[in-house]
Amino acid sequence: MYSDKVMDHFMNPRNVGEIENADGIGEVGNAKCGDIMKIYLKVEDNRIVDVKFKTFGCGSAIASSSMATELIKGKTLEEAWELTNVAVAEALDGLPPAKMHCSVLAEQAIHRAINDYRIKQGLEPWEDRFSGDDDHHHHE
Amino acid sequence: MRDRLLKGIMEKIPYTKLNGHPEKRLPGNINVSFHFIEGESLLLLLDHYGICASTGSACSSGSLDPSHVLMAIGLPHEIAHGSLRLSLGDLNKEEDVDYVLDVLPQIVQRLRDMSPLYESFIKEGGK
Repeated sequence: MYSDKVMDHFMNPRNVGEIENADGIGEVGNAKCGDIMKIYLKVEDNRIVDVKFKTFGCGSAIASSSMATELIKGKTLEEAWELTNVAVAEALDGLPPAKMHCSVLAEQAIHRAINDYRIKQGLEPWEDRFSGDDDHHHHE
Repeated sequence: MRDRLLKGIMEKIPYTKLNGHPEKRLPGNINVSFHFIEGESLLLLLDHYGICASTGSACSSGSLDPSHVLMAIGLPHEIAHGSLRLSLGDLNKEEDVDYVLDVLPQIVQRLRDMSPLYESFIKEGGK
C-alpha cells in the first residue's frame, strides 16, 4: 500500500518534536478528519534554520510531515513557500490517492507557520491557493 | 487469556478506554481506544512487530471514517480514530499476550510523543 520511502519516513520520522520559542507555528487539520499537523519554525536571516513537527494521523500523514520538514530545512522562506503537496508526495515516491490530502496538509501547515512568522514580524501574510478554505480538506 | 490481555492493557497504558461491555462481549474480543493517537499508524507499527489487529478507521478498505459503531455509541471522533480491535483465537498462547503487553505500550507511547493532541494535553496539566 505504501512505498518504501513512506514506510521509512513513518518508521523513522525526521524532525519530530517541538521548538521552544519558535518563530513561527502552523497547525492545520482537525481530529474529526483524523489528521492534525503542527509545524514549528526557527528562522534566521529569512532562512529556516530549524524545523520540527508533531502529527496526529495515519502513516502517510506522519511520513508527509517528515518529508516536508526535510525539504524546507535550510531553505529561505520564499523557497519553502513554493513547496507544493505534489512535490512532497513525489519525494515520497507517491501516496495512495485517498492519502494525497496528507501531503496537502503538510503544504498548508508550512504556509501557516510561515505566515505566523510574518505576522509576528509585522509583515502582511502571504496568500495561497487555500485562502478562504480554512482547515478544510476533501475526502474523495 | 482475553481478560489478562485487557487488564494488562488498561493497567499499562494510561488514557485508554474500553469500548463495549467489560464482560458481555465475544470471548476473544477486545476493543479499546487510546487517546491522542490515530488507528492506522498504530496498526502499521503493530504489523511491523508482527501483531495482527484491526481498527475502526478501516483506512485500507477505502473508507477514512472511524467506526460507525463506535460513533453510534457516542465516542467523539478523536477517540474513535484511536480505536484498536484485538481478537484472540484458539491458536494464541499466553506468550502472545505477554508479547503484546510488552510491545503495545511502547508503540502507543511512541505515537503519543509525536502527537500534538498529547502535547497540548500534557501542557494543560494532564486534564
